[in-house]
Amino acid sequence: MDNVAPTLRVLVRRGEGTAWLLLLMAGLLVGGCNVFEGLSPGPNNIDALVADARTALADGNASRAVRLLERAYDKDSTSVRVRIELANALYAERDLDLFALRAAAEHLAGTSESSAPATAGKAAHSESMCTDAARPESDANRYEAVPIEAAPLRRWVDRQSVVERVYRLVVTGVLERRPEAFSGATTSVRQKGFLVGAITVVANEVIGARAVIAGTGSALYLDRASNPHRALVVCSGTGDTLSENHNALCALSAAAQQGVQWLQARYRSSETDQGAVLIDRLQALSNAVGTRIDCS
Amino acid sequence: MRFHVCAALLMLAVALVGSPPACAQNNRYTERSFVPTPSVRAMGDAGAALSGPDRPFFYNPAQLPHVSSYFTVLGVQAAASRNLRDQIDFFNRRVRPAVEDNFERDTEELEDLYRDAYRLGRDPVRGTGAIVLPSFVYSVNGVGLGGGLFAKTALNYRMSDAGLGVPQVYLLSRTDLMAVLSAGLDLGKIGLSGLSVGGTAAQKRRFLTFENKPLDAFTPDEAALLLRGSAFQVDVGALYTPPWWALPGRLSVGGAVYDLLDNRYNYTFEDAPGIPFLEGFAADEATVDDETAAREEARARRRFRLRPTYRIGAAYRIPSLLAVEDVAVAVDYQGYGHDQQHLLARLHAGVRAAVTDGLVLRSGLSAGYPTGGLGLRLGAFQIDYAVHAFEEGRVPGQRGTYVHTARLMVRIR
Repeated sequence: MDNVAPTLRVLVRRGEGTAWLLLLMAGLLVGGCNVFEGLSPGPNNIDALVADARTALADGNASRAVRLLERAYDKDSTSVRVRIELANALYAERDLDLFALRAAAEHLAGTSESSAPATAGKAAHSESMCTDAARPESDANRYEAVPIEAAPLRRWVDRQSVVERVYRLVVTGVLERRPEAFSGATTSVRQKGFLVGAITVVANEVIGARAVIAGTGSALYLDRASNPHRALVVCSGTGDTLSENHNALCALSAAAQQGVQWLQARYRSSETDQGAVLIDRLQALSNAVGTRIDCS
Repeated sequence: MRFHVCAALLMLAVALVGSPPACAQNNRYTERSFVPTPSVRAMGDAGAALSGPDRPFFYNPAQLPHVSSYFTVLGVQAAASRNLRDQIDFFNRRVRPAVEDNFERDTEELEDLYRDAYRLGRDPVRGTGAIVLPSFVYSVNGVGLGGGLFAKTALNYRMSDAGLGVPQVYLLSRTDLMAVLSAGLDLGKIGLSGLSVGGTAAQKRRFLTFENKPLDAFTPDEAALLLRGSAFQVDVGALYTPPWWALPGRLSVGGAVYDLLDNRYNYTFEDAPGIPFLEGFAADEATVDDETAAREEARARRRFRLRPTYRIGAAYRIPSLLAVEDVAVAVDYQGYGHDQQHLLARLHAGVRAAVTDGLVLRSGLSAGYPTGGLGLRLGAFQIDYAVHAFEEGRVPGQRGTYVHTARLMVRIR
């Protein structure tokens, strides 16, 4: 104590130090710095990893969010929260979101207000067989070709591996196989899980249907004159391939219905006034498939 | 002597530990009803052990015997984060019309709206208005008494990630009315030299409205429920200034525990009146069914539960330092309710000095963010300004929000 007192007295006498300190603080304030930044340890448990991943996502750094959540997943692959957050980050990293699916649904169901009628696309041969005995080649004004290589679909097709992984993480891994654990999650996690699940289940079938159509050399058309909804028809070379396409589109319709259900569960409402962003589009897609294709 | 003081502090610590599970006072998210003081905020939000006017009521009642008597006629205070105006403008100009149209927009326009909303909203917004109605402190012979009426309304708003490009809207509005009575006692007269203790009893009434849902879940007839709750609460504090301190200046250590009683706001929807800033947003009572009201009441009681909180701190004060006078340094550990928040994000420190008679400069570090401000006294008028930061992330530097606070007060000393 005796040694400290003289030292402190000397420090106290050096009043310029206080002024410099105030100036330094003012400089830091203007610069918006945080003097503790970098001094804190990195995240080392699941809660911290998820918290930092959310911050990284908010900062637009999806790759860092994925890395952090992969570490959390390695620590506990059964965690519902980690699976859903990882799925969300994986989509963000690949620039996939709700609007990417909305654009795909609008493209298929012809509900986009801004898109011009498609003129490109694979034309049906006169000897093709079409669902509901449609004859697109004989009435070009009524039937509009739906190009399956268009950007809204390619965006998902090019990222098929991500959709498949998210499907395993959330759709089968949580929503289908672990409903009890999912219902025990927090509201925000459940809402995110329903949204990710709805997007993924539809995107998965969009990719699947597009693969079948392309793989069988078939063509997809939109019947603009159909009532009360625009209707999709598919034309293919043989009865077998037509049946394949028929099944793929029915699977897409069922997925759209599943997506609607999960989105309504997310809103905790079956009311339609919350559906403008995506539910309406998925409903329109399902209707477009079901109007002239018998999926019963 | 030292044994007695240590025993008293130990008893306070035991009371703190023995109270219901306490979470540290949380700037980021505290349910406590209190009026923050710009003079403390400018010092990095440190002041539990540094005596001064305004602090006994809401920071540490044990400071009362060490504060000169005064009577506050009236005070008004406002605080806002830097992005408040942009956010309100964006909400009124773009979000509200889209919600009213039930988001009937083409995909590109809607995507732009969501992206902009998320970009703007990820920096949290805070706005606070407070009125200090008449209050007083009377301090004589080691005994201090104080009381007053206070009103505060605060808005917190931010957007987080609801997944897949959808912003999650978080909106919280709280209006508090507080009647406060404090007492403090210097225990030097009973042989505990340097130790003072104090307590505050407060009757509080709160009006609360909140929303926390994805943006696309908002409907054209969206209306939040206005809930009302009241609580009687008690805070206790202690302050110790070691009489054996042999160095220049004066060292103090202290702390306070707030909202000790197991008496929480029991939020109810019935009979809640309209409040400023929420006209047209709060739901009309006639339009809310009983089930919805019960669900929201239960949610509010669960989410906005009043729990014990605390601050501990140390302060060092010297009468003069070269050209400046009444120089003080203070450090507080507040803790935060965020379970994952690191120790450094809970640390607050500051320095202040009187440059001339009536002018005080203040600076500090709040969770590592530099803060600053000044106080100016012109007769009975006291003006204080502070720029202060909150850390809302896990560690310092992750997600800070700067808030400007100004206060005008008429006070008779």
